[in-house]
Amino acid sequence: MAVTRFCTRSYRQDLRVFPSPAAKILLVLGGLFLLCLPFMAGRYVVFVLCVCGVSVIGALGLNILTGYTGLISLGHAAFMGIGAYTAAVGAAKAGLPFLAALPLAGIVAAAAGAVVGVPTLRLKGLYLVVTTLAFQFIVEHVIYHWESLTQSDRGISLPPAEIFGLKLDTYESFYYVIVILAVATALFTKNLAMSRTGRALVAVRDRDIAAEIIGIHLAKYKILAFVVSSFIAGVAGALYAYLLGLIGPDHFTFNQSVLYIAMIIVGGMGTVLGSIIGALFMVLLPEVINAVSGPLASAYPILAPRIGGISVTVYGLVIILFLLLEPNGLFGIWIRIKRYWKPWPFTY
Amino acid sequence: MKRVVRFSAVFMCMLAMTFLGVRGVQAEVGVTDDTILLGSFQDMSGPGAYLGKLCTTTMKVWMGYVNNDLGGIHGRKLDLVVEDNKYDPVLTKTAFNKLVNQHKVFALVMVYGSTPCTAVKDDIKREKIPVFPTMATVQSMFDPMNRYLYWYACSDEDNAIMMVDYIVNDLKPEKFKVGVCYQDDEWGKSALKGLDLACKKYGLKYAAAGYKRGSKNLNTQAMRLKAKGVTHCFYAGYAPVYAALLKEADKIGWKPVFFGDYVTVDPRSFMAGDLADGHYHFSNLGLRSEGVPGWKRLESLFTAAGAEKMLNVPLLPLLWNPMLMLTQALQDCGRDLTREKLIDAIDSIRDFDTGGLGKIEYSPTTRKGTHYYRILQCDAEKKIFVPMTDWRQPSIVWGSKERPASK
Repeated sequence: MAVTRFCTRSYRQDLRVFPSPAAKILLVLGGLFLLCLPFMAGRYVVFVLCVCGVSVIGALGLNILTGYTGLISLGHAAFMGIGAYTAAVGAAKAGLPFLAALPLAGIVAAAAGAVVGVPTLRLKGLYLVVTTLAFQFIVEHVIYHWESLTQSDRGISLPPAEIFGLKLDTYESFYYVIVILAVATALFTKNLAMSRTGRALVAVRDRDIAAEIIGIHLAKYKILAFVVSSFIAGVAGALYAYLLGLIGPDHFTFNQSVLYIAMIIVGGMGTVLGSIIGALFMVLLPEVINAVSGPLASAYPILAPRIGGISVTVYGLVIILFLLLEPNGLFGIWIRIKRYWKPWPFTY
Repeated sequence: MKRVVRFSAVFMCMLAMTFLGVRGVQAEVGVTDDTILLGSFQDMSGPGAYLGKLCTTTMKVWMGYVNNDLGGIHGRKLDLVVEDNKYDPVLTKTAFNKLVNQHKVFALVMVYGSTPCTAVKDDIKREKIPVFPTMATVQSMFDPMNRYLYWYACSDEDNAIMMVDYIVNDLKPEKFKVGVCYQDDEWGKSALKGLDLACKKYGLKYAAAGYKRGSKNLNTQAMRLKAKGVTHCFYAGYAPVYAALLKEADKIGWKPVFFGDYVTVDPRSFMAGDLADGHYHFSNLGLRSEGVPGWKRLESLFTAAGAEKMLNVPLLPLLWNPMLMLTQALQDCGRDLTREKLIDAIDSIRDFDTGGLGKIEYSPTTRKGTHYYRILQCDAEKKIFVPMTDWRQPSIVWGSKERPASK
């Protein structure tokens, strides 16, 4: 069947991860750009990019749970914390290598996710939010008070990651690990969304009773969503721990959970690209505000004492404006731009 | 051929001069012919923003004093870059990277917060960048020693030992029981550790009641300590919570003698009204009410800078003393300023004169800048704290056999 971008595509083509050659070319160019970035950017920029990468992985994990399955979680940072502490304790105390600590972190977080997932069979909406919130506080409390394991406020120092004898002790070297895992997570999420499982998750989100009637096992898919999401969160947490080199209780607080929710909302829920853009936006926005506010404070000294407050206001305002004016998030804007250029130079 | 040789010689000479010239100008990262670039990360918009504003203002007043009143440091003016860390460990790491790798600062000055400072502790060591000082309360800031990280705050471990010393040797009550009400984190735990050490030394038993960070009602803790018969109670935490504890104690008819740690030497302790009267506090700083020359200088500088409101903060010398010492250390380094030379200069300063604002001293083997404290008594009517003792050390000093430093 002859197919153009203006015609109806076949089912097989519709299931492709990258529907057009242009998308593939863009992906290759993007990949090359990401590979070259550490050579062009300074150390500070590479570190910020690493944080972006970890946040992208974390946001993709939450997107599976909240975006695709419709289960709102305020305990995402707790799963990341479980992963981070598993990796930290494994690496620092048991001498586990990076390649073993990383999947172990995901598995332990996934196990916790399975436990938290069980109440979701009976709870949804605000009740589920409160349950995950409680889980967040329990994990924070345990991290803080299980001193013999977590070293409480002092935190745990991690040795640099090592892969096959290659020490990843610079941000530049660790950047590649994060990029590879972020791309792998994005591909996995995209594939999952297009698979039978992904469609089942969306069906659960859109109308759970109807989904059950057509034969979707609600319990199985809800717990599966929790397990997969928390596995990814656990891996993101472990990467975070290795990136920072030291983790403490304040790294995985309720605020972090809210930040991840904000990432997927601002980016656009239920889309892979939305999670990626949202994570980048939320991590880079404070950096941009800081970059602008510094010279502003120098130029107008009267503003200097208030610049912190102004930065927070701008940060909050940007998020509120997004929610009000663009409920589909940055992904919605991207789609509109694409649609605008599709018939160009014609108006419709 | 001759021309080629001549041209090559000239080219080589120019190349050599260029390299030599570059080396001559770029003595050290962050130091140019006319500027020394310093950096700091501050909480400008997070939970500790009030402290961030206080620190930033103090640094600006100090820079004005050095650049204008002293004419700079050997012809170089000080310049400062501040990054907002929102008291967040990850943002602190980002800010640290930005300061070191992008702004390329010579040294970091006046940083605080246990969580933010712990997050970059290893980076400081790796980058070999002097941090002068950190005011984070955790002991891990100076123990084990990190050559590049200086600590200047007040140790609750020291203060708790001093409380028991003072009760046993000065107050000498016939019958007493000591206790501690502490914020359940590293800060509070250091008070607990100090009390434990002192009680072991004097063969005493003690009672302890911890509370969660952020708690404002200490009813349970007061009840528990009362039930244990505590007559002398150490308090480790913030001043408003201390005032709340005094009110709770009064409500349940518990009348111990309180010893508030250095953070309670704060006007907010007077929120308890008359109940704050007569209780003791610890401080390593000179008091404004004493009218010492150091405070007079602060008054004139801060008033001239339009920041007289800051003078009501009793902890102001905690920020100012290290800046004064840094000024002298930078001057001692001479024109050829390097990071390593600065560290050696700081370590070699002895009996530094702060003008009565408190003692500060380091050595090549210690990064703990506070060793001496005074015990103060609260006069709630006049709303001042009155020194009851001279400068003294705890009976078990840090680094001794009973309280060894980490290897």
